[in-house]
Amino acid sequence: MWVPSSVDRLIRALKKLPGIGTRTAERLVFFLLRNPSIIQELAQSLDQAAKELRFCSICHGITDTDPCPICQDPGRATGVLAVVERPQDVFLFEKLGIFRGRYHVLGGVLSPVDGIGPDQLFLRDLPERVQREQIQEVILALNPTVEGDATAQYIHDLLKDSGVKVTRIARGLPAGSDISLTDVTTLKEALLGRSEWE
Amino acid sequence: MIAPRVRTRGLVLRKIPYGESSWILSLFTYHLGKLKVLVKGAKRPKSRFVSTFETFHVVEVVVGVKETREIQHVYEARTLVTLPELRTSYAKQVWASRLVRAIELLVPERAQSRGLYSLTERSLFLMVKEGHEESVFLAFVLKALRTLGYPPTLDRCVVCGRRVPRHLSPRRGGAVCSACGEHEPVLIYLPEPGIRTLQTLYGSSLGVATQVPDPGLLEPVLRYAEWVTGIDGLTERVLGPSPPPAAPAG
Repeated sequence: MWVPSSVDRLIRALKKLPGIGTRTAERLVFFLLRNPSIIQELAQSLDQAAKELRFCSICHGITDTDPCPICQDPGRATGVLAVVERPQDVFLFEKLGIFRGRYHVLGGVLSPVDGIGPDQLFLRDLPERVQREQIQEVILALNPTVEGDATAQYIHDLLKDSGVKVTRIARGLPAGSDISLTDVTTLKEALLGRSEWE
Repeated sequence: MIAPRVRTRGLVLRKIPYGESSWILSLFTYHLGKLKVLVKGAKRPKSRFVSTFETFHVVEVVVGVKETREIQHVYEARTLVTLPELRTSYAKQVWASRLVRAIELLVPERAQSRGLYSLTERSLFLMVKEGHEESVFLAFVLKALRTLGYPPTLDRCVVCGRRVPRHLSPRRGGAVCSACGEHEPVLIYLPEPGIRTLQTLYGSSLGVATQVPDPGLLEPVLRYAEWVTGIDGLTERVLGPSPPPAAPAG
């Protein structure tokens, strides 16, 4: 099938995005062709993002200024640091509006099966950062997977001598779920991690 | 036509994210060998499979097997063994990952090998629970080579059959003595008492490996496996990241 080369290029580019196959890419391209104003807006946003977005040199989150606004904000120097896996996890916690500490983005979790060791993550600067910013509590907000837990344990060992309190986010039943349909592992975690009724 | 459903035991080798909330899993199973399965919505907190399929978990699955399909469907699943030690030790996870990568590289997709599955599962349990990870891993590699049709001869020189073997010759399919090794184009040198340790690991039951101190022969044995199987880059790909150095005693 013949298509103009610019359309073909756009389809190929869109197909590189996660979750977008040929059909979806084609649909998006033909939608854009019918709406040229969106093309302009999208092109400008992408161009701007490519020029301005970078990783914060302190927390390794995504930002358009370095250091990022969170790291620069004196009001957030609460001595609490949340360690998260990916930059987008920062936005999830920010949406909650209840966490006023700072973040440290690892850029992944230890996963030797995928060839990801400590040197592939932002782990080495964590103890120094804890010391420099006089952090009193490090909250490990990682996924409760085998890899996430091993990473949490590794960080715990890394910070063992620093005297900082290391905690992890709670785990257990999701809100609105049904105990009878919950798997054994989650139910066990929920029971072991029970807390006093307040 | 409805795909026949097979209930089997399997080890989760790898999880590949698929879309927003699904996983494609690489499983090594007792009845079906190595295969890929799609578990839709498994990342969602309310999915019945949310914590079933973790890497290194041993699971029981019901898989709909369609020969023409590259990725099979899972209909039922439950966790059989979770190995919690892997959640608290990165070093153990490094060793378990080496086992996983060895299986990924050595075993062709859908090639059924119940013996190799049992060997893999038992090796993983011993490495995680008993220690001496390198010895268990080496025993696994040597025994796996036998199962895959590359049995190494280690008890005598493959060429002259008499003298004490010292090195490995991939071309000859096992150990050779120093004199015979001189004529070999590829010779893998083993430090003392390398070959005797390999003889013990290869000839004894797997459990014996947990009594053998780690001999430091990981790389030469993997190089040998790489040569005999012809899998390029097997050594580096299996080794992956190093485990952290052990804490000093006391």
